[in-house]
Amino acid sequence: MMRKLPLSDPQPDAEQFIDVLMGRATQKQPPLVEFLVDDVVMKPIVTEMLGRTWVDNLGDRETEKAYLDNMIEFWYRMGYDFIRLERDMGFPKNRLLAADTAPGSEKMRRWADQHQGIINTWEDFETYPWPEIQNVDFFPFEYISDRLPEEMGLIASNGGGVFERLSDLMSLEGLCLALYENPDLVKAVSDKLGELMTKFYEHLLDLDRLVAIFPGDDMGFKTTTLVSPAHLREYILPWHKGFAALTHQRGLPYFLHSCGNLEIIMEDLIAEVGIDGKHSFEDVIIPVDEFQTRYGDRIACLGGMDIHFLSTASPEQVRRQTRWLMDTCGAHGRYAIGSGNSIPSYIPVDNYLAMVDEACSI
Amino acid sequence: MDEVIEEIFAAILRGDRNVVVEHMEVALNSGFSLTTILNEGMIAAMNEVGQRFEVGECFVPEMMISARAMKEGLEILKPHLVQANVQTLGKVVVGTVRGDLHDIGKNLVGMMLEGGGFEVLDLGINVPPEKFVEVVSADAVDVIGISALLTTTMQNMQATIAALEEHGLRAKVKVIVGGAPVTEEYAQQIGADGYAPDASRAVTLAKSLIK
Repeated sequence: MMRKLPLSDPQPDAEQFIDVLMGRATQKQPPLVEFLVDDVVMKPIVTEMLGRTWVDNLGDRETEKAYLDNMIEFWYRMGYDFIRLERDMGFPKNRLLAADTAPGSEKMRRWADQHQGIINTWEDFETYPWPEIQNVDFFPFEYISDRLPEEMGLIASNGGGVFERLSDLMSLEGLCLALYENPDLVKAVSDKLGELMTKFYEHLLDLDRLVAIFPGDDMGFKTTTLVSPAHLREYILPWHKGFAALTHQRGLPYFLHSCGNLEIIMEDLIAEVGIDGKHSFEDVIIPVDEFQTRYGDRIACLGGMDIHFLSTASPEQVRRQTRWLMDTCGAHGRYAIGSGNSIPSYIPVDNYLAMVDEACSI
Repeated sequence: MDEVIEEIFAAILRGDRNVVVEHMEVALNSGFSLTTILNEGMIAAMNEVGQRFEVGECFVPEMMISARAMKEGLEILKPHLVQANVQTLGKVVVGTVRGDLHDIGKNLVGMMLEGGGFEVLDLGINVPPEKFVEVVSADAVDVIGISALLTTTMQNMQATIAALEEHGLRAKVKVIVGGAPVTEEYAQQIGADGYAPDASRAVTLAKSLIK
């Protein structure tokens, strides 16, 4: 039973949320944070708990508006201080499809093609339909920014960072080989992506209600980074440094979601790139409390409830773990509670609700 | 170590497939035994790549180009190995479980196992349990290596082991597992014989299981 969710009386405070994460303020209850919530989880909450009509975003303006209205209500009523929205600029890429194995999901899961990229040669690079900034649709960001409830903030980003898009366009295998066989092409593609994303962020940073830039760029796997730190320093990290600098110029924080074991580049991310917070933690790599012990005096720690745990534990176990994270990481400060990655389709709705309900208990 | 074998070793380490191919021909024509070329030049080089990977001195791209160089060298050597009836360490079947389409990790495991002296059959992605059963039924397989990326798809590892049990094949083959959400604890829980966190350690694990 949900006892504490602020369904009828939310009191968001985006300014306080940012102040807590930046270490400018403390509060007894760590704020909630989430990176993404899948529609499969959001839909039953929106319909059954909030009593609204679910509308799929079919790509036309009317359904898009209705979808965004539900999204605003969801983040507001669940107790978040912000809404996080990301949209891809429109980089065509190869995708593989398979039935989603999550219980209750009727969707097809899209998988990156790790072997066949769209850009393999200079000719591919020249003929690739690069998006142009004047054609990028910023409507969803503007719509949410205009309609946010009082005291809520907008957290936004491009969907996918330079590394993710680089390995999408060239495929991960193609990228790995090109790093040695065609490094100039890798440089050209990463620079083009970085330049386009810079323009994207310049536009986003004009939004009135924006309180942070928070992109995702998965650079690691279980034991280390996918490519060497030297390659990341050459092709990827300078772009994140640029995005962070732009964000800081506006007086806002730059949080980074990046999956995998990034220990080998954490000093780069903190001291060189200038991230203000790190998101995405897996217990098999490093539990969030251990990460916080190492880096929590320099940056904020966001989320951290292990996804495998969140998907397989009972609601009561989730409540206990939530309480434990609040008592440990929350007590340390510069911490927001949420999942270790996102809320994908396979997280049981009851477990998600147990986490946010328990987090709203104080 | 002779200069030609050293060249093969060094070229595999730096992923220079052209030099590997060139020196394979030289080594064969110079009368080196097949096992010397294989063990001291190629497998030793891939062992070194694995060790460097484990200590963070090389990464996926470096492992990939080394494995590719090794594979091209092996293509030249294979007909000679077959003719001379040189035995591999054993046969390993690898595959990504049903519902899962990511396979870079599984492919690296396959390449490193081959580089470690195993014969490898790669069943690809989205492999149903029945396919593993079919292959183990039909052939002398020593080890099955199963990979999964997601918490939801890794449940099919257990389904694969259950299918092997159901068909009376479980005792015939060792099962090793790996992938982003997989842990040693999970491997034990589902009755696998072993877990490896990366491609290099999968080779060590496979070798230990077939002793």
